[in-house]
Amino acid sequence: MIKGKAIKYGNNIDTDVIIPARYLNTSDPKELAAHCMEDLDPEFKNKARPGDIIVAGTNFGCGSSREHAPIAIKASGISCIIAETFARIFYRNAINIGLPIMECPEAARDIKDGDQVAVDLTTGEITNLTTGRTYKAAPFPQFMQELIEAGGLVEYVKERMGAQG
Amino acid sequence: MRTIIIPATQRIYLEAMREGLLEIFVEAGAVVSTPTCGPCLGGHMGILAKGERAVATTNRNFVGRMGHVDSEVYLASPAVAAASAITGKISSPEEVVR
Repeated sequence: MIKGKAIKYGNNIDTDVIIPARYLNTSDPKELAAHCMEDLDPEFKNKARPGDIIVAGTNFGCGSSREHAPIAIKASGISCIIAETFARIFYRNAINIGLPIMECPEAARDIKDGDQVAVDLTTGEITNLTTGRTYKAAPFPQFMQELIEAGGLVEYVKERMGAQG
Repeated sequence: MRTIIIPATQRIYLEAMREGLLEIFVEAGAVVSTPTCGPCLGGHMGILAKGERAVATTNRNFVGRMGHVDSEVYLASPAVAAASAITGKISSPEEVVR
């Protein structure tokens, strides 16, 4: 179970504002987190607390493919992203680096900035603890849950190769 | 104003050289680069400062994409970009073709 404060953004949040290209000369998660969202919301790095949840509209993560984008968000302490829809490359990049994301249009529209939110990744249930309302997102398929729990694709593959001896 | 020519591939680069296009661009005051991402993702080579505007023939346009967050990108065809490089404002090729 994930719990945190909602940080709300609009539609079409692109990878260039999630982590501007001028910082892509590093893949150090801490360094990327220091610049996460800065062209859209310079206050993000100060207000994001460990466990917080980004809630956004449609097409989150559109634009250039860069795994730095979900890495920057994850390293900022964000525990989950709830959006109406995700851009497909960002969606899979997030899974591959072990950042939970949920598509749930009702929750994404309803939840307000600052609400306390709980997410159950196994069942796909989202609860707005501030209003008491619950929502249902499609849970991840089993293999994706395992991948996120392992901490991403690289760790997942390492585990599997280790298991094979 | 600066005009930066970036051939998309080595093949296009060589073709442009053989056709004499690069000589025309350089004589007109343009800068010619080897194929590279260049300023398209705001990394290097002519990125935009605050308040600068680019007419670009690339395919992405987001806030801060090609440099400063307060710069502007206008995506255009090569013909419109070339015409705009001559006039200094966004222009139709018809304005410069004799």
